[in-house]
Amino acid sequence: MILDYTRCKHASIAELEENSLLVRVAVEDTFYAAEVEMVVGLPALEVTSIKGKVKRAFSDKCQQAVPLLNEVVGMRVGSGIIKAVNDLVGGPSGCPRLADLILEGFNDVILRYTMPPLREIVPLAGQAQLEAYQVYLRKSPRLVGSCIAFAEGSPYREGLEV
Amino acid sequence: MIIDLHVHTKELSPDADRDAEEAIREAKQKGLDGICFTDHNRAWSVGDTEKLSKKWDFVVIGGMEVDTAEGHMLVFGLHEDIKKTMHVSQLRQMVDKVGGVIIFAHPFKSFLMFGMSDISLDVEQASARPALQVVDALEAFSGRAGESENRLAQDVAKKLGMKGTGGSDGHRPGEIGRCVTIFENDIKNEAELIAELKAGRFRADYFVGGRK
Amino acid sequence: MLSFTRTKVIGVESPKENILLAHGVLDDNIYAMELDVEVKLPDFEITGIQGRMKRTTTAECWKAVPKLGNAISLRIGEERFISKINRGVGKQGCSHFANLLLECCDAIRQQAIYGGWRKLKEKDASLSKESFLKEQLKKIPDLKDSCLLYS
Repeated sequence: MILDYTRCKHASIAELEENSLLVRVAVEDTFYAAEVEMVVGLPALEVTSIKGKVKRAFSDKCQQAVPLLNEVVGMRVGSGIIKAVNDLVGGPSGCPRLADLILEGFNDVILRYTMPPLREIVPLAGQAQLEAYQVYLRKSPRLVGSCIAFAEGSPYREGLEV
Repeated sequence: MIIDLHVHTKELSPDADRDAEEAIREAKQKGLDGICFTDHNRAWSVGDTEKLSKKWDFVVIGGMEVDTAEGHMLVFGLHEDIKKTMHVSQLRQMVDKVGGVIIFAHPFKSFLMFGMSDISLDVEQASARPALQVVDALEAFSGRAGESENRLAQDVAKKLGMKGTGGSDGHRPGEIGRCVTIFENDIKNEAELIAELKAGRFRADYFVGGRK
Repeated sequence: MLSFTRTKVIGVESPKENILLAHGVLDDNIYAMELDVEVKLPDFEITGIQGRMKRTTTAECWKAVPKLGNAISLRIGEERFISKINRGVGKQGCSHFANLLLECCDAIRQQAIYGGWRKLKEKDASLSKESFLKEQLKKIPDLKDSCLLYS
């Protein structure tokens, strides 16, 4: 079967020397291509600058949403950010696809910080891994119940007070 | 007087699992003196909270938790639903027009997945957040923030000479009163609450089921 | 130096009339997974879904695969669609599966909205993009106010 539609979305996080992250997200699909580049300051995790381009879209009108990217400058990658980005960059007078690229970047910032503890835990085997996850859950209680691995009845939650 | 300043209800918050009357019942059982309903961007009418107050012989005050680009803000005194996320400076203008107050809710609560392994914000850096200059107080004891996140909020409040409030941010049964605000004077209604918040005559702490 | 990357690749095909099939792949430093999602038009109902986890972090993650079934019979664009997926497939299963599923669903929707343009334009050279968009809005009413093109 020949594909009617293709999409490739790529996000990357690069560590900058001046205590910040360079977050790049690009999407290219059959009807649309755009990219967003943000600098996220550390340790505050606040967006200090952003630029972006709609490189190809079904309508030229989509370009009008690009200036809305500036609304995220000063936002912190933290609680409440999804609604804030969707409201300020997406929504009826904006572009949900640009908002999506920003949120993809934020999600990847979060995953970047999830990675170091996982690097320590994942290679462990059996009981050692189980115990390491239990320590991790105690340190990050919001993970409890966030997915099936940390749901009620999971061995990772044994002995954990919720 | 012990009040939970941050409670959600099923009536106006889609992510809450417990209705207003259940929340009041739980607050009374736990020995609180009052409760504030702060639903997401939706305002309780004064009439409705007064009715509940009368029915349950309990202090019930309506506020709101407003989404802003800078984070969630607890607002008292504003009685209109907020349709769209705004910047905190815009919210400040709206609240000033009605003589209300803004409290920065769980200001350092992080995202769900954070390992927070090698990222730590010190008090100096945390205090520099511009939104802190625009609010009247910050939530220094939140039932939904982690212990270290609450400790940072308390340290920032101290550094900036701001007052810290407490609230459970309860969405589900059993969560009311984990954190509370303890007022020096009795409060019967919204106007008295706003006056006491503005005067700073209160402190906050963990309470029932809190981490103390 | 790069410290993290994530790539998502989606392909959409139309094996028969009114059926769109998306194949999605997610690969990042931590996770790798794949989904096949079948959607029936014109109501955008999810009628089939299969998934595979290729690289995960716990021995429990595979249990998220059957939770993909929670998406069956949901309709893309229905009220609270995203939160239903995030809850039923994400919170009850795996949030990265939910993320990839939403990406697949969005790709299907884009194809359903714009996929017909080229053929229609070939048939009628005078067709403008504006009138095409108006027509799409009639066919897919929940596009209304979804972005500046439809507001």
